[in-house]
Amino acid sequence: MSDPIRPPRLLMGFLETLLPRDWHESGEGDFAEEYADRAAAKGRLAADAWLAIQIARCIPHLILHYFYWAFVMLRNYVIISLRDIRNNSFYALIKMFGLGVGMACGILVFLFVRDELSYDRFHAQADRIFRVTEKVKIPTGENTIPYTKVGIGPRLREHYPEVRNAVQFVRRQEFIAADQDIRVDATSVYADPSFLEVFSFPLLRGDRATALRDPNSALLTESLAKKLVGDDDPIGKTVSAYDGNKKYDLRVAGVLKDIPANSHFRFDLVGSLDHVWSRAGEDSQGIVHTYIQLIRGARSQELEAKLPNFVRSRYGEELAARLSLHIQPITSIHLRSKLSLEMGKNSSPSVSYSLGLFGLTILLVASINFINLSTARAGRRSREVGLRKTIGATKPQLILQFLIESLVLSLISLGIAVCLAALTLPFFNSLVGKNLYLDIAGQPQILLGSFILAFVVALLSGFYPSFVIASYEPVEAFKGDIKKKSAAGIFIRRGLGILQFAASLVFIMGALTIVRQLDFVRKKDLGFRHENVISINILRDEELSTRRDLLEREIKGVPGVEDAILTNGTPGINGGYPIKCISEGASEDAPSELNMVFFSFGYFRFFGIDVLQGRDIDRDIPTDAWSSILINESARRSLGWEEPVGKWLKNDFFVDEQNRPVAAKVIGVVPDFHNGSLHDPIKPSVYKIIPGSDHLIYVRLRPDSLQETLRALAAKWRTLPTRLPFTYQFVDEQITERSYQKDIRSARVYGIASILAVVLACLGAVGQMSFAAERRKKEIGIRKVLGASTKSIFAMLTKESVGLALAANLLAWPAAYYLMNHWLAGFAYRRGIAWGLFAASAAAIMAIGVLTVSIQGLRAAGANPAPIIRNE
Amino acid sequence: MRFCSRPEEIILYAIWRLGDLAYCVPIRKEVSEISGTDWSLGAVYVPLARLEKKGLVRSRLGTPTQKRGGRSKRYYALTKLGLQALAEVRRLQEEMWVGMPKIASDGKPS
Repeated sequence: MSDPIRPPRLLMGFLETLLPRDWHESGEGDFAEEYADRAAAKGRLAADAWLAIQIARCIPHLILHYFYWAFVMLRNYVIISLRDIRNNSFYALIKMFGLGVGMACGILVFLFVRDELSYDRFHAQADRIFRVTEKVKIPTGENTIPYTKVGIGPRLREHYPEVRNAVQFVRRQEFIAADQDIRVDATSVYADPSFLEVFSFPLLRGDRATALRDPNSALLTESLAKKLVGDDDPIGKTVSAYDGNKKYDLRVAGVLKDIPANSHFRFDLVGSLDHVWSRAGEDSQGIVHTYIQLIRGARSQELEAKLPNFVRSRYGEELAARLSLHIQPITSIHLRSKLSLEMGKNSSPSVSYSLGLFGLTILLVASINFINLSTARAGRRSREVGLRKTIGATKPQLILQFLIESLVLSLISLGIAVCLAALTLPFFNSLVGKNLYLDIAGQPQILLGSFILAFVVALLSGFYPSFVIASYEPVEAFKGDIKKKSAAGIFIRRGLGILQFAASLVFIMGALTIVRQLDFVRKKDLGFRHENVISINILRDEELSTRRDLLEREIKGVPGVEDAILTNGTPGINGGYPIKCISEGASEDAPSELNMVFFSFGYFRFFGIDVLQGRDIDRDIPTDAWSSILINESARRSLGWEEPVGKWLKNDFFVDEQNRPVAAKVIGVVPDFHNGSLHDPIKPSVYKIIPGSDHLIYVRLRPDSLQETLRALAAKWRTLPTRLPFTYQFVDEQITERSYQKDIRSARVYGIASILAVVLACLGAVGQMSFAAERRKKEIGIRKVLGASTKSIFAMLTKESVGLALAANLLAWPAAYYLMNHWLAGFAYRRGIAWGLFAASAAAIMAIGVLTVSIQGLRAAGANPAPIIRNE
Repeated sequence: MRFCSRPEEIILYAIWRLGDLAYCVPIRKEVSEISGTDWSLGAVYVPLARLEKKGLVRSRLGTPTQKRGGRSKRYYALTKLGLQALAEVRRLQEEMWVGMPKIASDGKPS
């Protein structure tokens, strides 16, 4: 046969890139052969066409082929990973436990942050709902409140086409009853009919369009309905709202699903705004909450810029000078809004940040464990790596193999993490005050997020060890034990170990400092007598609060009661309001900045505060009620008065019964005591009474018979002309709760973080020590034969751990100092940072560290040298 | 016993039929004839490689020829395992259809 026709080089070259190496020779040959036959039979063109098509047809098969092999390799790697875990279960468990704990923290923090970000997003088009707020000028500056005058909402809707809808409502705390016996304490909202249009609170029963049209209709939430009428159908029934002592009947027109926890305001009942205006004494010129909904594409800033004109044209120049309207997106309220008189307790981004930081640190400590253990034990795999390289494995392939091993470990840890997270979720919820749940089926993002987490952790933790392991060269691997050539490797390992211990130390020091400060706070003398005092709030029963004599007499008559008073101040909690006063003798242009605190008759006497100069206010002196004030020592000093009694102060708040401004006269001076929390310094204060505002009953109980006295009080309460239930709270607890909630939470979180970090760090230390001991088995054996005592071997092994712990201190002390200083700055009254405490923490963690490694160390040190040396 | 895929079965059969002459080009012709469809080279190669990995066939390189641009052929032959596999395929086939009537075009037995 003549020279066979060669296939075109281009196509063959392309084919060569597609085919695996092994097939180049024979595969190309086959193509060439068939090409030659076809070319001879049908001509070159036909053969070219055939070749091209043929190559194209091969491509899908080749793709599948490569996938198949990748799959086989992967399966092979996974099998090896599982075998490695089984053979080295001790170390694998340490790694997996650590990662599991770390990832569990990550999952919990993720749930928390996701919840924080989700507030108020359940409304349809939540991005277009805004709250209208008013900024008013007050004697001390400016104040923004989440309320507006009545009518602003509807007028905005009328006037601006970009305002699609508006709603206004008021909130009340009322008792709701279906029949006389069951009265439920509930939050009621009375709103325009557009309430259900602007907000997307789901309506389980009832017609959304008409439910609120009738002024006497009401919507109940599921829970309220259940409490009132049990399982009966509430629709059409009548419920009564008790406002003070008046009763108002409403007809139930629908049932709402319970308001979700991630709404910035919650309620149990919705009624009609018109109804509330029709109530006796309700001021239809009062203030309401106003929310607006904008049309698509409207820009809130543009609207806000137009509002000053709006105020000016509708309400006049004078009002416009004092007051400005602003709008805030509803979705930002929970995280960013810190106005006075917010409806609920809002949060701040810093909580999420700090929790996130903690979670990340724990995860970091766990990852460091992983990295350290893996690299320390890398030498064991050296022979395997050498062998694989000999038969043709490339470094990237090996890195991939070990990364897959990390991934397998990481995924198993993920399983552990999810179980851990689910188990500790109730505890976490109580720690952060939320109601989070792990709803994987309903929310695949959690699953996706977790997998991504596992992947990232595997990648980051596994990369360095994989790199190290894959670097072993066959020759040195087969020659014998790997000499640890890389000083860098050891340095990194030690450095990471130090980091772990340092992190644990910082947490411990933080926790101890916070606890110490809280203890200080609890024990500090606040300057007034608050032991064994309970407070009863009767704000809801206005009539009762006018019967002062009755109350005080009846309650004091109960055996075991030392003293009782009806008043309005909350010492230790409410620090007062800043005001600017013009003082006698000073010029009008230089008002003094003082702190105004409300109190009442008998207040100082009850709380054991002696008047230093002058006298306390007296019920029998008529002018005292409106124009007498007392000041504290700090105020006296800051006003520069030696003899303050008789001098006057002027401020817009100092008015008489007819609301005319008066010059209030100082009638007495009291010593400085803590009106507010210990976060704030004692401010120069002016004490003013507001007659008729007393709504708190304080009762001082005899310390030796608390329980009996409380029972007697409960019995006496039932005889009083009120429908309020007997609920009380110990003032000590109240102060702790209201003023130091966040700090207590911080203490708990730090405490838990410490425990976790320490446990993980110790685990890591155990692992390291255990491996080090094993590696140096021969050395130990020889030393023992040469006469070294168990004790000296032990010292040799633990020396390194102790050194690491000491070094960790160097890192930890400055960090802890900085952090704690920052936190303590939030307290005006504090103890200095206790260096003794730091030293104690350091000693504690060293003791823990040494203890955990010593167990392993003792075992290794005590081992019989004979069998070890014999095996050489 | 791990079952082979259908293409693998057909290729095994073809290799057995072709005996010493079994390399990719005639194997392709044979299986295309048997099955009635045109198999691309890739469609033969990929299962062949799998069969070799599974140990059912073995290959050897032959002498280079001019027609192939100086490249050698790779001859395939069944291993003992491969013969067993093929026998198993046949047994399975016969077992399935023993005593069963032919199927007419409308699906009913004829």
